[in-house]
Amino acid sequence: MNATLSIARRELREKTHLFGAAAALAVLPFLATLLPISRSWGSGTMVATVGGILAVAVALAVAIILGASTIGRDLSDGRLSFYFSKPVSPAAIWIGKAGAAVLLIVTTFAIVAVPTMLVAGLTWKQAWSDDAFGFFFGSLSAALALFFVSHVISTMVRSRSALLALDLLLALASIAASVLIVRPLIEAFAMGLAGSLIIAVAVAVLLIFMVAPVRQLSDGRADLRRNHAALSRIVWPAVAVVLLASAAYVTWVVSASPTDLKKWYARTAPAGDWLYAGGEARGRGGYEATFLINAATGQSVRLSGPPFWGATFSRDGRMAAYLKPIDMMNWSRSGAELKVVDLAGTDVREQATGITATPGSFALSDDGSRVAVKNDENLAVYDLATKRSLAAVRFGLVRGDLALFFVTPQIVRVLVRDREPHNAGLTLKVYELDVAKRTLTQTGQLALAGSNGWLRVTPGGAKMLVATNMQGGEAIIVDGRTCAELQRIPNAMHATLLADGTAASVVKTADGSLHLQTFGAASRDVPLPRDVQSAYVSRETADGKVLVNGRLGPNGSRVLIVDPAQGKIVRSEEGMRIAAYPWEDIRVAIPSNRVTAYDGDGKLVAWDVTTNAKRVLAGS
Amino acid sequence: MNPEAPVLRIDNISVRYGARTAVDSVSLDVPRGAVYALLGRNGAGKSSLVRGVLGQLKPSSGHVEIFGRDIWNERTSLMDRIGVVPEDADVPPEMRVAAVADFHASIYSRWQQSAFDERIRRFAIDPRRRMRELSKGQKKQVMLALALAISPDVLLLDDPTLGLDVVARKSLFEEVIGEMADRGITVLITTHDLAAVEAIADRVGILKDGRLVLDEEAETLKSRFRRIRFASQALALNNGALVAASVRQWGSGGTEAVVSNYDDVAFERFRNATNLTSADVAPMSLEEIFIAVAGEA
Repeated sequence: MNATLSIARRELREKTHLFGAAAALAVLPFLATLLPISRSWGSGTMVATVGGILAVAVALAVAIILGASTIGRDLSDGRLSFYFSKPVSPAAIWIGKAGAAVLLIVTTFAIVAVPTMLVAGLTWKQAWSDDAFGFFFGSLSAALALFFVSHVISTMVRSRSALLALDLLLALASIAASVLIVRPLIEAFAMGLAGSLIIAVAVAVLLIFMVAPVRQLSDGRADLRRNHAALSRIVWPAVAVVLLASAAYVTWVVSASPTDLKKWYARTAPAGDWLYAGGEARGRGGYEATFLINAATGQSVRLSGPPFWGATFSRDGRMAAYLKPIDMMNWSRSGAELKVVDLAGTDVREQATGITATPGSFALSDDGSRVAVKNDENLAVYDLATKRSLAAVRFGLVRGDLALFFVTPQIVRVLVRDREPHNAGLTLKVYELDVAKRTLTQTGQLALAGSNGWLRVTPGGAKMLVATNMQGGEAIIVDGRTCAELQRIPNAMHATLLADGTAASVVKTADGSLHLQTFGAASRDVPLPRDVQSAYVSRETADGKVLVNGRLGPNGSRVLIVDPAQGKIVRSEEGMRIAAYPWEDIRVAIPSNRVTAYDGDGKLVAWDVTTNAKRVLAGS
Repeated sequence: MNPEAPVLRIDNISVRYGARTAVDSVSLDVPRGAVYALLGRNGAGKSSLVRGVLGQLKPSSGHVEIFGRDIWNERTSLMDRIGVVPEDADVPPEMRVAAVADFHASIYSRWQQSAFDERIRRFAIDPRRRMRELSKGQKKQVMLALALAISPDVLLLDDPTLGLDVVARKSLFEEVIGEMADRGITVLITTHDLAAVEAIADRVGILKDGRLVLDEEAETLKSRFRRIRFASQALALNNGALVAASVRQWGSGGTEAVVSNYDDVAFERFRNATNLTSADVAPMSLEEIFIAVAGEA
């Protein structure tokens, strides 16, 4: 310790001129107030701005200079033997010298920054940051990192050894490896985790750079080339270990299986046994994984697209499609490629289509053979087997939301909720693309009173339910093509269409109780239990029952199985909740007794409503 | 530690820089209290050997022990007992002499400030001066004062008189001799100043092309080397079982031979066998022996 302090003291004494230089520079922000531009800026802003820039610049410059010279220059000048001919350890030499350098960097930064902060006061905060500690910490961290990096580079370059070429090669390889390691996280849009990993790797590499010089001096002692060799011997294997650990971690993270998921997006195919499930994997830093899962067999297929873009199915459930960004770092510009998975084939895996699309702007035909894509200002239909464009028309820009579906293989209907200029509300516009004729026609239009819009369409597209206010507003059933009004449903908290084209709605009565109203051959009013705070119609079973998701409180849920024909609740399943997906197909689901739901433990289960059999699909 | 054991033991060390071998399988011992003069021409490998001895450079093979402890592994603690005067003063040039002394005082356990002050005063060096302001001789004197003020058990002098004038050389060696007499320290000295070292060296080693070609007690060395001059063409020295280190023409038709295993009986045998009537046999200085062994400059 004594030797370390002696070395540090000696280093500081040798470099006291840096304090003087910093003090001289500290005057510059105040002299800058004499410049004409200071009149428009204000002297406080001038002092703060110039002071902040100068303080950071001084800290960075001192860091680079000291990093490049603290050991490197002594070695190249043959003066490190001064220490090695004395009873001082390599650790004492490095810690003493580096400690002094760190103190010099911090002090010179403070000499320039602190007076300007004191003088500029609040203006300094406005110019830079409310968080003075954060500003100091960030700037000094960058400067200190630069010091250690400069030392490593200086040692390597000064040796003029052939080993430098290998260092360069390994540095490039390390950067390339880092990109490859982080890429799977970025491709899964796990930006937070990727950022944390990059920071962790950077900190680990910095720690290596901080500690490695002890080994460098211990093995290389007073010989520059041997120092270089010793430094390389310790740095690159250590960096490799860090990268391997990172790679192992990322491999583990991305290897998440459905049983690792803890938060869900789930979407059941309209027919067949497949469903899409994605969500956050437990203990993996918020990483989200997506899968196609066969509810009957438990088979799962990992998807490479980001989870919140989901996946869509053909109406027959034999084809799934989803999007994968082309350039993860700039996907909003590069767009995304449509990937498809043939669920009916023996080899269930994703296939590229070469077709670009944006989330929510594509739909598969009912048999999965075609896809309609709204891209930029065009609407196109492709044959998936041949990837050939069957029709493409100019559509124009959409200011609001868009949904589309195949009415028939030849007709694509497009529903646009256009946001009118000056916040004047929404207009629902209906278009049809005739694939054979390659024509686009607007077939209907409807002004929507609210600022949002909830749409449900019967499977064939004949009727459409439009609700603009889900908290007790009015729902309208209109002609699916022309928007001609057919029926009004008042006081609907939540309304939807059933497969037969009739409506079901959860309404709130004057006494605050919730009722399910159906408007089939005979209208029914079914009071819901008083402890249900909110509810919505989720699915319809093959035997005509309506499944209502009821929320009991912050965490409680219950599925009510209602028989509209009898006008009563035939069964309640406590803790269950039918899985819903934000971008559900706007066409009403095909009635089925098998649904995907969350059980009381939060697991995703395939649930046969009739037999009450449940099979865990994801979660543990 | 066994008091009879050598203080410094160099055990078969080699130092290589890439393909070049600077020191090739050198072994030598320096007994306690002895002065070992390591001689060699420029590039012979002296500096590499010294760096190895100081634990500043790891030998490619072999090892160095000081007081029976491996210098590479235990350099930090051993250096507390080793004074070093490097070939070139490696003190940061901006440091003042007094600051250098302060630095030494803070890291050496047996530092003697008064001894340092006394020597610096004797050398007429102002301790307030910076190292860069001193002449080469003064720097060497400061380094010697530093090395002796730590109360060393071992003193390593790496060509300490290189570039010094006669007065400075004399002064430096007087200091070393004085300290040796006072404390009986063990000295390893590499030098070109053979005349000066001749008076103090107990043992001499000669490095040539990285190899230790000679390692012997100084007195024995001087007793077995003779220069023989005779007025005839070269005669077969091996007639008397004498070994010639070098043979060259001398004067007009005469011969000068340096014999490395001289003794009177062998010389008589040689004379009788060759019917040599007159010959001049002279003892040799260390410098002459060095030239004969290491080759002329």
